[in-house]
Parts: sequence; C-alpha cells; structure tokens
Amino acid sequence: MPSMHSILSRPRFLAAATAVALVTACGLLDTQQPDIVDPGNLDNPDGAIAKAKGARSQFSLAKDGDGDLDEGVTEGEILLSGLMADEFVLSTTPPTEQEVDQLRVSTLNSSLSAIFLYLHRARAAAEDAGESLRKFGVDPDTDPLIPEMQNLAGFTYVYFAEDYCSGVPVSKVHGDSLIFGNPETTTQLLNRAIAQFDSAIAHPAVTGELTDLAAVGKGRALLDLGQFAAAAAAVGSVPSDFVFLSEHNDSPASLRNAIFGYTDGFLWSIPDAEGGNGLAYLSANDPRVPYRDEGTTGLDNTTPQFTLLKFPDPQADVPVADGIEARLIEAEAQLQAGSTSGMRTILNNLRALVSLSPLPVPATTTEAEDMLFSERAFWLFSTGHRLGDMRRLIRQYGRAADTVFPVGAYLKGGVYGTDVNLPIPVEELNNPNSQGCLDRNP
Amino acid sequence: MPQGFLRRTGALSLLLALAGLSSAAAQAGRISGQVSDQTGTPIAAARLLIVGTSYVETANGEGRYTFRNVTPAHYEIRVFAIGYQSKTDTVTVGSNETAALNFSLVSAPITLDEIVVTATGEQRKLEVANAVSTIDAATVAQESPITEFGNLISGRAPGVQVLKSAGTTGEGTRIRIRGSNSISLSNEPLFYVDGIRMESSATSSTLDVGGFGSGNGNNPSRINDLNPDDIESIEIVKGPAAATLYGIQASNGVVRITTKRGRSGRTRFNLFTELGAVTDNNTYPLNYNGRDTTATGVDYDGFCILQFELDGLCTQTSISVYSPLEDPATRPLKAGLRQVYGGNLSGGNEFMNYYVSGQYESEDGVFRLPKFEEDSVRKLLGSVPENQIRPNALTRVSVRANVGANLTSNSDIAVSAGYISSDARFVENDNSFLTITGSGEASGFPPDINRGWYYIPAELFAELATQGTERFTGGITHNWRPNNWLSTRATFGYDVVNRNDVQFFPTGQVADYLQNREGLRHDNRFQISQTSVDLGATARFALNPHMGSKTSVGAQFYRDLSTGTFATGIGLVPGSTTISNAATTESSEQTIESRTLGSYLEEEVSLRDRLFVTGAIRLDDNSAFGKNFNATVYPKFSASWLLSEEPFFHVGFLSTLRIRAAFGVSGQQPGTTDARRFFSPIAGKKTGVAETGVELTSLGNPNLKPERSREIEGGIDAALFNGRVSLELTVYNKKTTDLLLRRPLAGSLGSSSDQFFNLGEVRNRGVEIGLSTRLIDKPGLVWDLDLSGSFTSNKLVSLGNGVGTISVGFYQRHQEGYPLGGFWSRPLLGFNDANGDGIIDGTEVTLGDTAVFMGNALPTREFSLNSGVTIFHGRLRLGGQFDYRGGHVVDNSIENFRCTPVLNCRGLVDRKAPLEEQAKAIAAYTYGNSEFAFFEPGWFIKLREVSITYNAPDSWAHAFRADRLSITLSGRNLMTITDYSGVDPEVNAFGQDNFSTSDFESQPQVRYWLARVNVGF
Repeated sequence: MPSMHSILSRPRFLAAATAVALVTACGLLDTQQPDIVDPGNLDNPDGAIAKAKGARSQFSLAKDGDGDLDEGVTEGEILLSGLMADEFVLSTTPPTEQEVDQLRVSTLNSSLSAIFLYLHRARAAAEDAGESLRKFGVDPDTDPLIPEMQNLAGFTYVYFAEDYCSGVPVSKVHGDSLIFGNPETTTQLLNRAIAQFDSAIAHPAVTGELTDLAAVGKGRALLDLGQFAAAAAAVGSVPSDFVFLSEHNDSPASLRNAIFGYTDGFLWSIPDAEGGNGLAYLSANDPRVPYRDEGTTGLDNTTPQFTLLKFPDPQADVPVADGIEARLIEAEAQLQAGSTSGMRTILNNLRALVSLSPLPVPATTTEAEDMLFSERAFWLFSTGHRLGDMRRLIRQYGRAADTVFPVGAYLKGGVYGTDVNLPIPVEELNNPNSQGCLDRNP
Repeated sequence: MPQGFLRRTGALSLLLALAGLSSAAAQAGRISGQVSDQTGTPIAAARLLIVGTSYVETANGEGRYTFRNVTPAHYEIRVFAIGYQSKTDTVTVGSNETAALNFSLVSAPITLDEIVVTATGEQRKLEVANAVSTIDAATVAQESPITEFGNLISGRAPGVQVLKSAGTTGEGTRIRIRGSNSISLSNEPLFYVDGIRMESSATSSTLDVGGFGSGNGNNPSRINDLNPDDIESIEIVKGPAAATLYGIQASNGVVRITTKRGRSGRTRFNLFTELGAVTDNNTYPLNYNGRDTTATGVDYDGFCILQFELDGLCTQTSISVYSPLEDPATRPLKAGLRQVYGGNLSGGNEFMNYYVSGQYESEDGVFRLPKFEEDSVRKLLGSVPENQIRPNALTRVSVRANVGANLTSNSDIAVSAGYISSDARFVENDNSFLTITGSGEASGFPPDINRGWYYIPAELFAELATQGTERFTGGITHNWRPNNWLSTRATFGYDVVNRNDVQFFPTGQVADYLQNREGLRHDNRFQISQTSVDLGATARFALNPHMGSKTSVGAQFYRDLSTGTFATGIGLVPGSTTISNAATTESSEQTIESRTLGSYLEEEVSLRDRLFVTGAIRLDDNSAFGKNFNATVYPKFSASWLLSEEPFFHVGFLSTLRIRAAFGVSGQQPGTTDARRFFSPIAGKKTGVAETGVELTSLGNPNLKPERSREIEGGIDAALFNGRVSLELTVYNKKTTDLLLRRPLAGSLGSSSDQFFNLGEVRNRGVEIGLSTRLIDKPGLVWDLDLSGSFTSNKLVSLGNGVGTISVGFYQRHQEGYPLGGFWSRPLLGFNDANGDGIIDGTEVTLGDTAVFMGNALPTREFSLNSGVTIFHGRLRLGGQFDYRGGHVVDNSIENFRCTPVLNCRGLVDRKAPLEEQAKAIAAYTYGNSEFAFFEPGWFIKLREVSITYNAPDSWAHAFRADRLSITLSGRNLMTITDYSGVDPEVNAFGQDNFSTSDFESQPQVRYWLARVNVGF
C-alpha cells in the first residue's frame, strides 16, 4: 500500500486542490435574488423617487388597509379606529378584531400590532424618502414630492395622536444603528405633525393642492390640541371642493379599497347606535352614510349585515383631507367662540351640498355640540376621524366616557370594555425606552 | 483557516478519487461463492464485505456472490442476511485466481449486525456509534396498509413522530425526530433518495384551502410523492451526533431512502393491485340551537342561549339538536374508492442489473356531494362536474428505472431515476368559512335554515382546488475501487418538481364569500429543484495486525432553486375557466436560491474489530450566511464497543452486546435572504396612473450564522436468548444554540416587523427504546412482537437578551423555561352554581388572572406495538400496530368557537348539560376565546394497522403461470381510545406548520380497508 506521503506528493493533488480553490473563488456560492432591491441601487435620483412612490403606497396601506383581506395584513387605520368607535361592528369572528370592537384591547393583539407597525412604516418611509429626495434628487427645491412626503408623515402623527394612548415612541433606522425613541405624549405627537405640515407649506416647490392638504392636516392637529381658533385660521384658505385622495386599484389585491372589501365581504357591518351611545347611522338614512341592508347576518351568523356603499367598489379612492373638513373645523371654532348660529350656518351650507334639510336651532350648548359632532361623524364617516372625535368629546367637552363610547352587553358575548384608545402593542417593548402607554386618558 | 480547510479537504477527496489510476489490477484475483441456510437453500440479497477493505457485494437470487479485482492476500469475509446470524470466514486469494468461499448461515430471528448507508458510504451497523433505525420498507409496503410514504415510518422507529395533519386525501405530514429544536427554521429532517438530496417541504402549496394563512391548511407534503412500493429500505439518522457529516440543515436528522435494485439472475416480474375503501367513521358534535318562537323584538330564535334567557333577552321554547354531518340525508361523507395497479421487473447478470417499475394510484377522499344536492345541481345546470361530486381526490402515476452496471472489474455505476405525475384535488379544510366540517359543526343555524349548514355542500364543492405535480428525481453514482484499500464515490443528483396550483371558483356557483362568486382563478406555477454533488473517498489501512484505520474525506455541493409565477383573475364571465379576459388580473413572480459547499474529514480507528473510535470534522459555507460570517465547523466523536466479542465476556443469554456513545454538532442555515437588508417593489397609484415604488422589507443582519445543535447520545444494543430478543436503548441530550430567532422589532422603528438574530438556546432530552422479540418460533407458528417508543423533553432555555415571549398560533408561546410552542391560557379555577338554578352563568365561573402553561402542543411520549404472527408454515401472516401518543394537550378550538361566537355548543344552550361543560362554555362566552381556551388531554391509542396476508400455495400461482401469489387484507385507523372530547385528537388546523397546532374545522383521520394481490413471475 502506498504511504500518505506518496499520495500527497503526487502532482494530481496540486491539480485537484487548485480546481477546488478555483470553483470556490469563482463564486460557486453566489446566488441571484431578483425579487429584492439592494439599498445601494436606490442612492440616486430615480431611487429616491421610487422611495417616495413607495411611501405613498405604504401610507395608503396603513390608512385604508390591505385589500387582499388575507391574514397577516392590516385592516388599516380607518377600519380599526372605526371599529373601536361607533362606525363599525364586527360581523365576522377573529378574536383580535373582536377585542377592538368590544373596547377590551390586549397589547398582545396581531391586528393592533399590524396597524401600529404599518403606520410607523408609512411615517418612516415618507421621512426616509424626503431625506433621499433632498440628498439624491436632481433639484430638491423644485421637487413637490418633498412637501408631499412631509404631508404624509404629518398625517401619520395625527393618526397616532388620535387613535393611540399617550406614549407612542418615534424611532429610526440609521445605517446599521437602531435609534429608539422615547414615549411621546399625544401633544408631542401633534406638535410633530404640525411641524411637518408647516415644513410642507414652507417648501418652495409646494403646490396649491399640497398646501391645502397641509392646511387641513394642521387644522386637524390644532383641533386635537384644543386650539380651535388657530385651527380655523389654518384651514381658512382651503376651498370647499378641495379633496386629496389616497388612490386604489383593482390590482394588485393589496391596492384594493379594504373598506369596501371588509364591508362588502360581510366581515364588518354598520351599527345603529352601537352600545346605546353610538350614533344612529342606519336609522338616520343619511346620504352621507349610504348603506345596503343585506337582510341577513354577516359571516359571524349573528350580526345583522349592513354594507357601506360610500366606497362602492375596490377602486374607490378614500379622502385624506378635504374642504368639507376645513369647513367643519371652522364650524367648531364658531361653536367654541360661542357662535352657535355661526356654526349652524356653516353646517347647513354643507348640508345643502347634498340636499339635506337645514339643522334645527340647538336649544342648548350640549345640543349644539351633539349637532356638530354628529355632522362631523356623518360627513367624515369612515375616514379615520371618529375615534379622535369621540375622545375629544371626553377630553375637550367634558363628556363621560360611558356616555360617548358603547356600553352594556356585547352582541357576541360579554360586555363592552372601557378602552377609549388603542394601547401600544407588546412588540414595542423591544424598544428599551418604551414601557407601553403612559396613560389611557382620552 | 476555515476556507483553507475547505479547500484542502475538498482537494483531498478529489485527490483520492484520482489516486491509484496507475494502480492496475493486473495481478488481482476473485473471491466467489454461495450463501445458503443450513438446509442448503440459497439466501438471496445477503450482503458480504471484506473486513478492513471497502469491498461490499450483494448475493444474487441464487445466493451467489463474486468479489472482483481483489489484491492477492489473506482476507476475512463477513456475511449479513436478515433473519440469520452474521458469519465471518477467511480466504486466501492468489494472483489471477478465483478463491471459493461458501457460507452456511444459522437462522436468527433478530440480528443487530447489518450494513447501513452512512454519509461516508456503506458500513457495518455495529461500527456506527449512533442509533440508526432501519425499516424494511419493501416488506412493510407489501403486507401493511400503506397508503403514503409517512405510513412506512410511522410507529416503526423510536423517537420519530409522524404527525398527519388531517384525514383529507393528499394532506401532508409533519415529521419530528427527537422533538423540535428550532423556533424560526424548519424542524423537518433532510431526505435523501439513493444519495440524492430531495425536496421534502412539509407544506408544498400556495392553495388557500383553509388553515391559517396561504398554504397552511390541508396541503400536501413532498415526501408523499415517493411511491412506497419502490422503496427497499429506509434508514433514519436521528440527530446531530449522527448527522454531523451531512452538514448544515441536518440538525433535525436525516432520512435515507434506498430504492429497489435488480439482482443478477433471471428477470422477475411482480404485479400487484390494491382495491379498497376510504371511510369517515367519526362522530361529529351535534349543534344545539336555543329556539325562541315567541320573540317580538330582536330575533333570538336559533341562538337563545341560557345566558340570554337569564338576562331576560329571550325565552327558550325548545332546543334543536342536529348536525347535517350526522344526518344520513345530508351527510356529505361517503366511502371513497382507493385503487392501485402496479408492477415491476428486475434482474441482471454479472455485469449489470436493472429494476423497472410503474404504478397507477387513485384515491377518492370521503367527501361526496349528497345525492339530492347533486340532482338539484344537475337540474339547474344540466350536468355536475366530477370534481363537485367528489371534491377530494388524488391520482398518481409513478415510474422508476434503476440500472447498475459494472464498468470494469473495479468500478461500477448506478443510475437511479424516478418520475411521478400526480393530480390532487382538495376541499377547503381547517379554519375557513368554506369548510364542510366548519359549515356543519359551527353554522349557528338550526336545521330549518339552510339545512343546518353555513354554506351548503353544493356551493362548497363547486370550488376546484388542484395541484398538479410532475417530478423527476434522478442521479448517477460512480463507485471506483482502484485497489483494496481505497474506494471512491461520486454522486450527481437532480430533483426537480414542477408544480401547478390552481384554485378556481366558477362564477355564480360557489358560496357567496368575498369575491369568489364573481368568478376567481389563481394559477400559480413553480419549479423547485435541488442539485446535489457528493464526492467521497475512503481509504483503509491496517496500522498493525490488531488496529485498522479508515479515513474518509468528502465534499458536497448543493443548490436549491425555486422559481414561481403567480397569476390571478377576478371577475370571470359565466362558463369561463381561464384567467384570460378576467375583469381584474394580477401576476407576480418569485425566485429563491440557496447554495452550500461543504467538506468533511473522518478518521475511524478500529481495535480488534471490536472497538471503533471515530473522529470527524465538517466545514460548510452557505450563500445565506451573513457577509461577516464565513464558514462553520462541525466536529464529531464517537465510540462503539462490541463488548460481547471480548474474550472476557461470558454472559450466556447475551449473544451480542454493544455499548456506544457519540458526540456531534450540526446546524441549520438561515433563510435565503435573512441576512440581507433589502427593499421590495410595492404597487401604487397616483392621479389615476399605476406606479411602482419600493418599501423596506428586511433590515437583514450581516452577522447571521447557522444555528448550532450539539448532541451527546449513548446507548446499548443487545441481542438476547439466541437472537430471540433484541434491545436498543438510547439516551440523548441535544442543545441548540445560536437559535435563529425572528426577534420582533419595535414597531416605532418603521422597518420590518422582525429581524433575525442568533440568540437563545433550546434543549432536547430523551430516551428511545426499541425492543424486538420472537415470542414463538416454531415451524408452524412464529410470533414477533416489536415495541418502539420514546420519551422527549423539550425546553426553551433562553431567548436571548431583550427578547420577550414569542406568541405562535392561537394560544401558544415560546417562553423561557417551558417547551417550545407550549399552550398558555387563563385557567378555569372553578365554578359554583351559587343560586342552585342548575345553570352556570358568567358570574359563577372563576378564571385565573393571567395565562398559565397548560401543556405541550406536541406529544412527548410515543410508543408503538407492532406484532406479526405467521402460521401454517408461513402460509398465513397476521399483523397489527397499536400506536400511542401522549404527554400533550389538544386545543379544542372548534368547541370553543361553537360556544363563542357561534353559540351552538351544548354547554351554552342545554340546561341539562353537565355543570362543568356549562362552566367551560360560559367562560368562553364571557371572557372571549382569545383569553380562555378548551385544552384537553391529547393522549390516544389507535389501532393503526391490521393486516392478514395469505401466501397462496404454488399450485395457485402456477394456475396463473406465476411463481408467487399472495393476498393481503388490511385496515388502517380502525379504533381510537382517548379522553379527548373532540372528534379526533390527531389533527392540526395549521397543517404542517412548524409549531402552531389546533383542532379547528379539521377533517379527522379516516379509515382504510384495503385488499391487495401480489403476483410474482
């Protein structure tokens, strides 16, 4: 038998060793991954624009939901906040959504986590796109995408402030570093929103449409802060026919209007005076909340199914802000200024747009408040405003929570809880600065 | 250093493959002879090896064997055969001579000495220091009710759990060897067929036919593509201690499948046919509907539960107790037909051998459209498609051709080629409004509405969900023995699956659910391939007269590639069956590729052929590792001591005793893009124009490396009482570190929801027992009894700093100090009918404040008792298997769901229901099924298999001009003993998910009655 030494000394060993070294060096382990985009490919003008377009889509996804209706996707801010408010009731069965509908939301809730994540993704994407446009854009001073991104970021702060408890952090990925933010109060979040809207308005490339968008956003944030006159001033130049839309399409499925999908699919229904305190959206027979009585129950086989027709098909676009909201802000400023008639005039002018009869003269301030918030609820139905308004009724108008939010027996079992806002999901505890909600105040 | 090692060991394997080219065999001799039993009857398929060399041969049908190209010397030849004691004899071979050596073997019912296939090649089992389970698949397939591959190994290997997710025809299987050790990665073993690595995804589908998430319901597993009748044997390598040389991905164990080969001798034909019935003998729960025909306000008729009555909302006037699944008039479950027709031919001569087979298999699942509904559909539409009448079915054609050839006196080549073509049709199952089980168990409707269904079967069965599969698994292995001390092996393998998943909702004919009724079709096409190259060489040296050395080196390359396209059409015109011209279409594609390059070096030293000490090292690099991580090194050490061969060993009743111990490390690679930061395209629309942007999808982690599993195992193997009893006892301790953990990220970062890190540690411990006995061994009566079982303990030791509890499934958690995926829920502390009204209301139950650990989700104990009795001199053989699983709990989610929100469980409606049942029901209703769940002991004993085989007299066979004729009658899943109150504790609504487990609208296991005829020519 030959010795090992004689084997190793043969020329074939060198040839074979060289062959293996070559195939390794020649990239035998290199793979193609065509489905992904390397970050380095986006550090150029086109890449920055692609990020901005992506931020638009993510904003739409976070606000209006994922029309794929599959598990693991988000219902969207409008649907989830509307479910917690009195706009929707659950006519299907997932327990995570039922918790929200029943005002007993656990921090360990996939629906809650998804919307929190998607809203932050939309925020971060808009802010990152803005940075990229400034850094890699051809001429940042003439690029209206920058104020558009600032607007979108601003609205995500508004949604956080209106829907969540105090204590939402704002963190950031910076290179390989994760920069964790501290919990922020509702006021701090609203101030962040206002700063974004102000920056958008001040940007040299801002268009008239983007200025109006920023104005309504700022007015909404100021309203949430209780600065009613300033809010009215902010929206004063916004024409009543202004509307800024997040747009939807039939394809791909994620781009479909999820509000349409959820109600048309018998997953969510419209209640009438949910839990006693909710508004009577059905019996009002108001053209601003069009619906169809399906004459049967939803998929849970328990809840009567009423399908929303405001967004009649999967392609229906959803307002982010519009001129009607601007007028409603002005009306509230009138109310706060003690001019019930001024408020009523504005509201009746708006009602005339859809041929609704004028409102009666409210006998009391409380009646006037109810009138205003009812008008806001009907005009802004299913646009992500109602939960914030119900909280404001408690916070700014001194109403008791159990006179604003649904109470009593819950149709699918048990009773309504006492949550008036969404908690911060448990995943946020991976932020070392977060301890969850600072409080659960309205 | 690692890369240098990789290159050097890889080079050495090639070197050894090339070495010896000049070692001409001019002076070589031959050894030939015959193996027979004590009566002189030839023993076919006996394995022979020349001790201390790499020569292994198989005796042909006449028991004859020949070793060629043997260097002149004095040799020990050892022979192994199932049912006989191994034997060693010596022979001297001269130059250009043929030395004759015949063997006469003594019968031994059970033997521990056999040859197994390892990563380095064929090896005597007693040299391998690990527990390796070997299954005689050829015999099992012929005599037992085997309807799919998973049946072959279920209950036949200690520590191996085969968890079938449901009884739906074509449904897949989870396989766990020594429990689960990975949180984020697969816990399924690797599969090799004839040395070719094969695609073995436990879930292989994009059909959304129930379950939780696409592809997570009743979907097929690729291992069931294998035709059991083509398999000769299966070897199961159980953990890292044994699987080190298989490299990354092997930490869950390895299943090596050897298909049948031809043997030299005349051509033999075998034909077989199998006919049988598939039946659903399960009893489904009845639906309780509280009726209130007096109501004038809110209509509670149908769901007037006791609590509503107490609250004054309604008055129960009666209770409907009914289930359309239990009403013979509406029950859509009828016996399905299973039929198999197959044949094979095999043979060969001194120079080549061949095995060619073909099989057609067809099985109708138990779902069958009720006759009156079929008539209604026919009346309405003129005809009823077959798929609507029988919505669950499987047809499969499989062909195999294995050819071996001796190219020269010292080299041979083996070609293995298998092809299957299958079409499977699925019904919706597991968590869907469109399941027949869910529609019947949890409709909420009393019988006078919709016949008690949520959706009627005709609507549900109109959906067509199919998977068409074309699969080729082929490879070529070249063995070359340039001299008597060196053998080399090179295997090239290619396994490719072309899969077409189609889900079609014909316009206007299906249930009015989401957009389905508008007409919808998904058509997703995939090609999934695995390319494997395996080079190896083994050199044997005699270090001195008592010590031998075996040095093995090898290098492997694997490429896994999956490409797919997804197409969807929504809004089809009535009658249209194509995506073309749908109102809305969308499409996308997907590519996933992974490559691995690895190499190993193993040294085994043997002392007096009794003590075998092995050390090995393996090195792997993979395309999925983070850019800051180069390669991983896995060591292995083991020792096997044949104590009974020692001169001092004199224990009369022990014919063989071996002590073994092994330590080894293996791992699992990250997912293809887990280490990379990347963006993905996202669709959008602005001012009416479609646009595409990008979104940050993954943060990546450049430091990502594979998981690392270290295992120590030890055990004994003993043959007692002249081979009448064998015992295999193994204990193991496996620790998995650097867990690839999908650590949730704070949402406020606005990035991906999670990021992979190497964190945490999982520990698995266990005991495995294999006991085989021949209780009676008389000419007219033989009784074999085999017990196989294991105890497994699994614990998540740590999750790593900063990682909190991870939730999975409905109520499952990965929580430190507890088993992976354990069940957690607020406990029902008690109940008290305080007011004595015989009704437990929501105020009379007490729940714990916080969720507590309720139990394991997967069995921690499994035992199987296999028994066979042969009477009338082998003419008749009776066989059976009892299968026990226990030590876990089952989440009876469907009963929970029936209580809330459906409101048709008995505990909520019937005041005569036991108070405990009422308490559980009202707790679910009051606290919601996200806080309170129904957990029940999951143990069961199933009479899994019964068979009776009659080997007909030769005269019968000769009447058909055949040599052999046998008839087997068998049954599967014939009886269940359990405390579980649901339909079947052996289901999973999450399909083959890694951890998530639940009984929710799942199709329970079904019963098979089969008749099989085998004819040999």
